[in-house]
Amino acid sequence: MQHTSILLNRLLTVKDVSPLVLLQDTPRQTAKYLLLEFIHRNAEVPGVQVIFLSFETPSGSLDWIGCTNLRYIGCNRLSHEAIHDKVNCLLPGDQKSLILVDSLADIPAVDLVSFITPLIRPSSTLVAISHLPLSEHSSQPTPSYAPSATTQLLYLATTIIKVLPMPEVKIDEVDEACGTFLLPLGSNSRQSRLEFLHRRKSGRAVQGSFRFDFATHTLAFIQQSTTADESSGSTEVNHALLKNLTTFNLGTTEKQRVARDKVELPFLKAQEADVAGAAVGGAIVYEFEKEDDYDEEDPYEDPF
Amino acid sequence: MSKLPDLLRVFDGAHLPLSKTYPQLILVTSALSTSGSWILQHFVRASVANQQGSPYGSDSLEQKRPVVFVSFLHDLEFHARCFRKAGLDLNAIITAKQFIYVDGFTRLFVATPAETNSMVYLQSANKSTWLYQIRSAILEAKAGGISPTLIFEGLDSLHALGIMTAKEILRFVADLQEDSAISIISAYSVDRMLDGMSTLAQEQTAYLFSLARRAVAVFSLRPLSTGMAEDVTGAMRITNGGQPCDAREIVDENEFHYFLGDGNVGGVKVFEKGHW
Repeated sequence: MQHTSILLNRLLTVKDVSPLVLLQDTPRQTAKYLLLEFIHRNAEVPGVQVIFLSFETPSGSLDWIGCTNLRYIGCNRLSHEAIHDKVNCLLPGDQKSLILVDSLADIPAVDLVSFITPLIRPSSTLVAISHLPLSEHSSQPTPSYAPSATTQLLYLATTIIKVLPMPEVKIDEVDEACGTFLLPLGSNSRQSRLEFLHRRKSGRAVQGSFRFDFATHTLAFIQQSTTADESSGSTEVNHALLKNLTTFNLGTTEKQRVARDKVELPFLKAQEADVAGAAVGGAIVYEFEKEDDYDEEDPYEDPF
Repeated sequence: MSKLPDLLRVFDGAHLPLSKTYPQLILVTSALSTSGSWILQHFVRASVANQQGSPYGSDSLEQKRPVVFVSFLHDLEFHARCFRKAGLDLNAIITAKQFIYVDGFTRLFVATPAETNSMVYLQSANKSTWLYQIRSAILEAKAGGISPTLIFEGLDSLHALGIMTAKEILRFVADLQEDSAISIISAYSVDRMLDGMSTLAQEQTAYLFSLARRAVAVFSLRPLSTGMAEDVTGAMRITNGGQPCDAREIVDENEFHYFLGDGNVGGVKVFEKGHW
C-alpha cells in the first residue's frame, strides 16, 4: 500500500520515468486536473522541461500555475510531423522531461500509434489523456482481427490511471428518464478517484486506488475494503455449497482461516520495499538451519 | 427595462467565475421541446447591458462586452421579436456596434442573394469564406478594444445537413475562439439523436462530448420527466464542464426550473425547484 502511493508520487514528480502514462476519463469526470497536477508538481523543479501539447486547451489558460519550465504548443492546425519536429527542437538532448497531451480524441485511430511512438523518449514521461467513450477509437478497424485503437493504447501504456468521480456521483433515475444527455451534479469536480495500474520493467503490475484532491494537492490511498468483504462473502457461499456434499469436512473453521492467513509465504519478502521506495526484490533469501550440512568449500574454486 | 430580474439573479457572478485573460467556452444543451434560444438571448442581454449580476462577474461593471451572434436556426427577426418582449431594443445595440448578427439561416442554400444589405450572410456554397466572414465580424466588434462574446446557435445542424463534419466544426470553433473572450454554443442533446450506430448519431455524440470537455460550464435544458406542466416549461442544470475554470474557483452548480411566458406579455421566470 505504502509502496504504491510512493510509486505514484514518484511518477508525478518524474523521479521515476514511465514512458507512457495513459489517463482515461469520461465526460462525468475530467482528467485535466490530474494533468495540471503533473505541471504543478514540476513547476519549480530545475532541469525538468515540461511540454504541453494542446488540442483543446486554450493558450493562456495554464499561466496561473506559474510554471517557468512550461512550453505550450497549440496542435490544432499542425501536422503530426510538425508537432514531432517542435518537440525535438525543444528537447535536443536526452534531458529529463515531461510531455503532456491534453486529448488524443482528435487524432484519427489509424494514426494514433504513429503519433505517440516518436514522442516516447528514454528519459521523458509522456502523459496523455484518452477520453472515453469514443466510438472512433473503440470501434474495430477494417481487418477486424486487429485490436481497436483504445486497446492498442492499453498495450502500449506503462501506467494506466482511470479517473472516476469522487464522491461517487449518483445517477438519478429522474435524470435517466428525461431522455437527454445530462451531466449529474457534482461532475468534473476537483476531487476524483484514481484507479492506478503501473507495469514495472520486470513485468510485475502494481495497482491501487487513490482519492485525489486538486485543491489541496493530496493523494490518499483507498483501502480495498470492498474486495475483502467480497472475498469473505464468497468463502461463506463456498462453505454453504460444500456442506452436505460429502461425508468429509471440506470447510475451514474461523481458527483455521486465521492460522492460514498468518503463514508467511517465501516470495512476499521479495515484494517488500525499503523506505525510499526502492524494491529489494530479486535476491534469494535463505537462512541456514541447525541441521543443514553447510559446505565451507567453494565448489567453483580453481583446483590448481 | 428588465423583465427578467429573477433570471439575472440566477446568473450572478458567483455562478460563473470567468477569466478575462484567456478565451473560455460555455455549452448550452437543449432538447427539442426546450429550446435554448432564450438563454442565448439572456447572455446577449447580460453581455451588452452593463449591469450588476451579469454572468461575467464584476469585470463587466466597467465595460460592456459586444456580442457576435452566429445563428443557423433563426433569422434576425425572430430574435428581435424575443428581445422586444424582454424590453431590449435590438436596433439600438446594432447601431451602437454592440451587436453583430451573422445570419447562417436565411441564405444557407440560396445561391444568389435577393437584395444586398449590411447584414452578414453565410452560404453553404461559400463555406471556405465563413471563417473570414465571422472573423471580420469579430474584429469589427473588437474595434472598441474589448474582445466580444461569440455566440453560436444550432452549429450542430451543419453536420446533420452534410455541410461540415463534427471535427471540422470543432476546429472552426477553436479557431474563432482565439479571437473572442467568451464563446457560447448551443447543441441538441436528445438521446434519440445520440444513440444508435448511424454515422450521424456517432458524430453528434462525439461533438457533444467534445464540447462538454472544452467547456468551463454546461447549462443543460430539458423537459420535465413527469410530463408537461402549466407553470413549468422545463428544468435547467448548471454543472462544471471538463475544462478547469481556474485554480481557485469553480462553477456554482445548481438546478432550477423555468417558465417561458407566451404571447406579448411573455417573459422568463427562473426559480428553485418548488419555489414558483
